[in-house]
Amino acid sequence: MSDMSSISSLDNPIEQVLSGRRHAVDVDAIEQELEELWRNVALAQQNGDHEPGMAISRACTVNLITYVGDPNRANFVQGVLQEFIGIKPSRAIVIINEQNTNERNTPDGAPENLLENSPENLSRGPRSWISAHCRRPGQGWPYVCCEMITISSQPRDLPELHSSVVSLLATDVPVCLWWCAPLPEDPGLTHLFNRLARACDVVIFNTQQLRNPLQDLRTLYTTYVQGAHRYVLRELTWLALHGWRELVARPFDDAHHLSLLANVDGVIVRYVADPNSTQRLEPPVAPVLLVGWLAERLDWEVARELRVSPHGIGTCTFKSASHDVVSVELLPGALPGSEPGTIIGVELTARDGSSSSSAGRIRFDRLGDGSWVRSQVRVHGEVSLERTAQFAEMDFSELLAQGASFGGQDAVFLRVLGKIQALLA
Amino acid sequence: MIDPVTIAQNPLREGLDVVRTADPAIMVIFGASGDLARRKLIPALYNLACQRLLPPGFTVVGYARTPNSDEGFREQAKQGVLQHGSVDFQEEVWDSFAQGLYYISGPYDSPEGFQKLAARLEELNESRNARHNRLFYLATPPTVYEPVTTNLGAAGLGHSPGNGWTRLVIEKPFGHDLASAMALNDHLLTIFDEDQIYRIDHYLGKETVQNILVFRFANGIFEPIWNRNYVDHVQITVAESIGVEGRGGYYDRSGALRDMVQNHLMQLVALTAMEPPVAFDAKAVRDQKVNLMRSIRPLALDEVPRYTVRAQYAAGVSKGRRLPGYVEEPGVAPGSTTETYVAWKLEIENWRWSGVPFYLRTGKALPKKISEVAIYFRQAPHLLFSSTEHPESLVRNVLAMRIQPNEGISLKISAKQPGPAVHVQPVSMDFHYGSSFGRVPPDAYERLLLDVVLGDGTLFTRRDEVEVAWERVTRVLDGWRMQEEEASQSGKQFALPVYEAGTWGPAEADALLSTEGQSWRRL
Repeated sequence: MSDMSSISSLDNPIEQVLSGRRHAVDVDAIEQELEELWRNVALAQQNGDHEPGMAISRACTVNLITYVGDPNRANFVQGVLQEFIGIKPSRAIVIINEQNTNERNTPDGAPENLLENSPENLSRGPRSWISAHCRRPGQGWPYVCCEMITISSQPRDLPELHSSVVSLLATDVPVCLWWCAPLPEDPGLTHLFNRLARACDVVIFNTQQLRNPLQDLRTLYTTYVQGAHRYVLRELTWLALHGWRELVARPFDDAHHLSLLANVDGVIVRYVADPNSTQRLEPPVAPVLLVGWLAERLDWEVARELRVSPHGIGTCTFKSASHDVVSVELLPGALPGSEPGTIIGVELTARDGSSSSSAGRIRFDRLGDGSWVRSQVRVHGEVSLERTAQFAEMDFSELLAQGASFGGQDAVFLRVLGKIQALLA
Repeated sequence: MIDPVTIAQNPLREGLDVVRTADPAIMVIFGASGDLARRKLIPALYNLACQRLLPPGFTVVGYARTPNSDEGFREQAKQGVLQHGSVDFQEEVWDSFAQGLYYISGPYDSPEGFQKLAARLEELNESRNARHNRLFYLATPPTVYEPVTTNLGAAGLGHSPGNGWTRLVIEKPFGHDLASAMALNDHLLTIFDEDQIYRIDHYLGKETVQNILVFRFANGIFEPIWNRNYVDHVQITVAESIGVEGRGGYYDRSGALRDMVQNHLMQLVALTAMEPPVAFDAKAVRDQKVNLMRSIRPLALDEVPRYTVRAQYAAGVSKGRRLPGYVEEPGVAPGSTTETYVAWKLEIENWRWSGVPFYLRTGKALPKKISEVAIYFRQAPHLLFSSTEHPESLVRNVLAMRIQPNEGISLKISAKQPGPAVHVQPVSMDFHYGSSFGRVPPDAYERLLLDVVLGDGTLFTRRDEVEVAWERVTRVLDGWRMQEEEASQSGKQFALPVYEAGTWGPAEADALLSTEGQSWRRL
């Protein structure tokens, strides 16, 4: 295409790579342009055309295909991916659906009218850019560089875009798809999703960020768990709960506390409410998943489905394995600087096995800015465990890296989805 | 340690990694006012606590001659964490951690301080529910190892009552020759059992050193060629760019052979050359390391000058800094013959390595700080391209395992240059930890401290391992002494080779390899 500058025309390939600047290329020539880019870098390194300490190595441990359903989120996704490839060196291929574009979130170096619904753009086929992203893992280490390929497309071209994407995958490394959009409903997108998923080892969703998160969680259950797919399913909100699950599980590794689990009769989960939400008040996904996890692991059956009061307090009850009632409350709260849905604290109470009096209280509370958590276990009123420790919640790119890691199907998650299906029925 | 049966019974554990969780314990640091405690041990413990890897109520008692209070020790520890910690400092977590820090001042060589210590430990055992689990860490000069442990025994602190455990951690140097190492071992074993003693070599806590085992035994393609049939020779380098940096007094009594070869380099040789262990556990790994060390051919005294090179650095410039010569450093005796550089051609007499030399080198004031193990493979049996324009470009394949910096592995291979003619050029296939894992490996002390608390001795050296390493090293020391005596008897002054600071060692070290048609790897 006439408006595209070839990578080979750039002055200093090393500086070009390190700058992370994007260059428009023909979709059909992406692979050749990338090869040329790295050939120029290798030549420049051989010729010593770089400052000392600017050694570069190209790395790829995974292919990450990202589908961005809302072009207004393209910049957010690009930011996440830049962090992601610093954690997990990868070839990132981003597909942007240009429908309903109303902002100029134009990638650097792209023609300004790229994402507008102008007649000219509507008549164009998919457009693409390549860029390199480099990072130094530590002082004195060489730069580790990865490639990002961005393809922007009108909805009508999306169904067949999978063929271009699949041809761009780096060979012999795992393939992940991050579907950064609601689960597909229209036939074209469903076709794209199915064809991409067929080439993937892992498919990643993030229901927390969608318009109807709990609804999407249920759809995930009906389409995925009840369907038959060969890829591994990962959900980012569930992965983000790993820290909380580990924290809540830890005290019960001790035989002194383990017996309390069978007698849990109350659960309170506090979470950050969305102060700007104008929609119907509904608990976010994370606290619901945490409750679903407890119910699944402790063999509780849903006795009363989740209900939400006008003040946003969610309540439900379960019947424990010993047929006792377990009351659950989801309480909205605040933690400055935290995203809505973030869990602030968890409290479990356990009755005495032989009477209705309280035998144990297990609390986990985030402190300060939320990066620390205090755990406390009281048995018959006496503190039997207390400690404060770091609680580093993974940021989005770390979660994504976790999602794109090796490993088989998460059986616990799939069973938790089933429990939630019953809880939201 | 928390009973694994309990963990298995915890229904909330399914799908979660089982993080190794240690028992509650009290750790006593002897030499608590010193550099090691402040720069390494306390920050490592704090980091472990931040990651919830230490049990709640974990207690640290500092013991040193310097008068101080609990509060003073806490403040000193806090400064250590602020200056040397690798995680963000958080006041509330620090407060929780610092509640478990205590201090006792007392002498190392009289029983009174230890009786006071025993009483304090008993009191803390109750108040902090330590279940009689104790860990004594000797972060002191080696001269007080014996009095400290004697007094621990006399105070009844060598073993714990009931189901509790007592462990002892000893820093290098573990003796200064074979006799002193054996004497120290004999002494320790009058108070502790062998499985209570953790001889620490922080090199073994480095991820990349542990990765040597993973690389060798988790990959099917290397082990079949890891032997005399395919390997020409091995080079192991542990280089430092700094001089003795104010430690002249200590270093002058030690030298590079004792300070680096007896421990770090011997461990690298063992991990590189040992047979596969039957399991990745303390006994199996250490058994194989000892077997390998026993296979190192002991040098006859008159062979030592042919197989080893020692030298001292003279004034020069290293990494842009002007360094004084070793003998001009404070604390170094005039006319000192202590070596700051050692090269050693070491031979391993077993079926796998017979005839394959292992060239070791280590030194101070070298051009850069770097540690690596390089395996040189034999040339291809038929040199198809030897008649090309530059036959010297047909390099041998070299597999280099870099321990620091830029942790990773590289393989040098030959490739055809693009073009009509057959020009062969060496190229390197590189694996960097950072390229695949996107992060720098954690600190060695954190890993090793956690292992001690968990009772995992895999990464610590056993008595027989230390003694066989010293046996081989002591022969070299004896050979050098004989060399000096012979020079003296013939009325000559023994002249230790010198190298300019900032260079890769003396010409004699180059000659050690060049006489055999080899050269040191350019690093």
